[in-house]
Amino acid sequence: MSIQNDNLLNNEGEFQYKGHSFYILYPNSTKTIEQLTEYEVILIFASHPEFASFTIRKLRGYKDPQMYLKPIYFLKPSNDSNNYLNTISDGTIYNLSQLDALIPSIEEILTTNSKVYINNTISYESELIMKMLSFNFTRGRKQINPIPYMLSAINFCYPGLSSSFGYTEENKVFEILDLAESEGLISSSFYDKTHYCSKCNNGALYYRSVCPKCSSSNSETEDIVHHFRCGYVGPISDYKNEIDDSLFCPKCNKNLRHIGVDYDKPSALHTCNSCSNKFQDFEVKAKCMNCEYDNEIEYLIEKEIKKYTITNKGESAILYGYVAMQKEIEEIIGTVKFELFNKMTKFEIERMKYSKHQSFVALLNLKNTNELITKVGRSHQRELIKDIIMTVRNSIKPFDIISFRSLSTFVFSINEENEETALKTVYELSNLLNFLITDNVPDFDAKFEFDFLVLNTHEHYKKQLDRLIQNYE
Amino acid sequence: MFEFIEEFIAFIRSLTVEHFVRLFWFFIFFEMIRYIILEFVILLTNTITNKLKAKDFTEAERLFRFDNPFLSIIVPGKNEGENLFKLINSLKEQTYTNFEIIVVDDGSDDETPTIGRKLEKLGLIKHFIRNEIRGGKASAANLALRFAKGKYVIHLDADCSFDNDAIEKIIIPFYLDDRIGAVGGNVAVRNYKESLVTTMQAIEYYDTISISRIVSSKLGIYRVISGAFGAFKKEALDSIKGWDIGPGLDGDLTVKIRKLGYKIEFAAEAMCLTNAPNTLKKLTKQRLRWDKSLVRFRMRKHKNIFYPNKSFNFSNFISLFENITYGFVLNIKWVFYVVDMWFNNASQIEFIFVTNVILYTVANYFKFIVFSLFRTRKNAPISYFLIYIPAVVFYFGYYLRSVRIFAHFQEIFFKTSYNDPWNPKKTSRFAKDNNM
Repeated sequence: MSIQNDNLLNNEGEFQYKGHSFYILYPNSTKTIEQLTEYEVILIFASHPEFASFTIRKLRGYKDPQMYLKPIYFLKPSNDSNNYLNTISDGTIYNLSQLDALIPSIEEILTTNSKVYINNTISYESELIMKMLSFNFTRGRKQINPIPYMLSAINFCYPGLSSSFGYTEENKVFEILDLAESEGLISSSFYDKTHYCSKCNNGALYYRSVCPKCSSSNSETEDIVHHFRCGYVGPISDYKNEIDDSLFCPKCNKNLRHIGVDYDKPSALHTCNSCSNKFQDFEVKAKCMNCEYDNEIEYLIEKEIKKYTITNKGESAILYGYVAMQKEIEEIIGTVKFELFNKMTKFEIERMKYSKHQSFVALLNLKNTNELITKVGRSHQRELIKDIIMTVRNSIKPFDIISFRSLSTFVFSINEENEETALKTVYELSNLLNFLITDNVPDFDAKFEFDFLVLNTHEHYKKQLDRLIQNYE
Repeated sequence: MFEFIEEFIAFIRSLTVEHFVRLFWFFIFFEMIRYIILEFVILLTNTITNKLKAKDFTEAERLFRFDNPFLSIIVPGKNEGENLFKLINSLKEQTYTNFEIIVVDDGSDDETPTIGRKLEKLGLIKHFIRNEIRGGKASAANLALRFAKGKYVIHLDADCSFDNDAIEKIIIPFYLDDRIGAVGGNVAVRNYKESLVTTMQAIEYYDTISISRIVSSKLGIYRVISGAFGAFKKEALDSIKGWDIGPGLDGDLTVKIRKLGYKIEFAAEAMCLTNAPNTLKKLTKQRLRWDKSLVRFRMRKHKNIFYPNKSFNFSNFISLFENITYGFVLNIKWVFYVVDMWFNNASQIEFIFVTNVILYTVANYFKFIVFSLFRTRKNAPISYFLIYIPAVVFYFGYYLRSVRIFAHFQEIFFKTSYNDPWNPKKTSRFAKDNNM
């Protein structure tokens, strides 16, 4: 059964097989990643390696666990292998007749996925840590080994983690790994050492033997010849004549016939064709293929690459949630846990039934949170969140409450207000936050979305809130 | 003891002038006339003429400053890494700075390559050239010469340090006379306090280098530019294609330059300090090597200086003649003197010995104190050495002389300099076959 003639397929590449929904992702597919979450299994049609590489990394790097934990396989017309891509996929088949063989592994992954405790966190780092832990855990891997990968900016990729970063920010994986280790979720041991560009931290370096004076690699090499008889020493060109290949000493005019008896070659000399410098030892420089900076070897950034093992605490976090996340939320002064926000909304609806006033729940979502976090860095992230909360807090009444749904989304109540004022508050607030972020993070264009829920008394509070946040999960 | 003293006084009293001359002819005719009277006269003359020629020196200095010549300082050596940094520091302090430093590592088996490369990378030396296979000091110096770009080439030993004006002081004499092809620097012992052996050598260097070279230079017979500190016209070195195989290559090179018709000068004020061998064993080894070179180079390789052919040069003839006379013939003559005394004055031999010691000691005190007046640059107080002067007679008269006789004997009959591990066998073999 070839892929093309497979009668299981409809035009869209989706099909059901043995109780599971599959989707074959072709290069010309029009589906969005969000739409792909509907399927239980994704098959990437990997006829083009670039497409396969890009797609698997994109899917595994997606923020939604429904996607990054999903069983994803390559459907390849030929057998070519890439260790990293194979590791972050769940396997490869060469035609759909091999689907049967996949079913046990699909079911095992789906079963294990269902055991993973998914909760939202305000911390970008926590989100990534949980992603890495849960991905490897659901694939039966307790060890998280770095895998050499040519297209990686740091030369190695960590399954479940590296895909979340773009090429230029890939070195941030080390911060995440260090943080996870400091939290006791993983333990490390030595794997290798590698070097990165001192200017841009990139690992794609090529080593060049260059002139120590002008760094040109354009040079010629000549042997130095020592004539024993008279002690003359000079480059071999001193001894050559224009008539034949014989060597004659320029000092005593004797013929040099026998190496080791008449003469030897104690060293060699290089002449730079660019600056005419004469030297014996090339300087080795490492040119960065990313920023083109010519690094001196001794100033390269040396980095120890570690392999990691998920600890018992790490496993516990995967299965029962990461305690530190709740703690982190509680530590943000001026906010409440989302569960509490739910309850308060319920009480507000009850209150509305008696006082006949209008209340609202507003939602603000920063679409490019990851970009922002990358720009401000981990150390300033919490400060920025505090500033945002402070700004929101100053714009709403003291009895209104704020809660984080996730790192990029937070909700707040606007109670006992008319709709026009509530809308104006949200609009002004989004402008204010935009200004705040632009002021603090130059060259960053914040993309805020806001949404607005008019609370009603006849519908269950949970349904109302779910309707509000469903598009921002 | 008292009896001996009484007899000794009686011996002295009994001496007539004729008898005194008969018993101490060696001291009177060879040592006193050459090394005290002649040297004193020359030093005095030199001082006067220097004063009279002060304008010439000023003009030479002006020409030097105007010309601002580029110099190549070459430092060949093996396992000299630990000395390089101190040497470079000493050169960094120089008042004259228009020079390049070329270090050639002759197959070192220590950290020299690492240190040299580091210095090169830091820009403290222009070239660090390493020969993986040792070729001998001459080959290392020649390789450095091949890359030298300077108008003048200064050859240094890596274990030396220099007065901060030493480089300009050694170059200025070239501007006194265009015929000057090489200038020797003054060398003194840095570690003179380390042992009695080094103290003796410090006194020796004051005499044989600081003083004797002023004299020989004045007489036009200066013949050995020390490898520790010597400056050469690049064109002169190029003409003779650099150094020939050693040991003794410094003196050999000087004679070769003389043969080209160049004059050789000594720059007493261009001061270099070096570490002298600190044990008798090391010193003996060094001196055997040095002393053999008189036979090998003066009497064997450059014997044609004595030939009355068209390239005959009188000052070269005198230079070598004096060297062979005082370095070789009189050494033998001294043996004759001892034999003469032993057989003809056996009953008075102990008095003759003591008298000789007294004569030499008095002469040495006189020389050391009076000649110090002619030394413009001293690296140690004269008073430090006064207590050691009585030992000088034994050092010069017996130890050095014995070593010299032994070295000459070995070289004349066995050509042992060609077996000296100081030079690799592969090159010494050729030198021996070709009487080089």
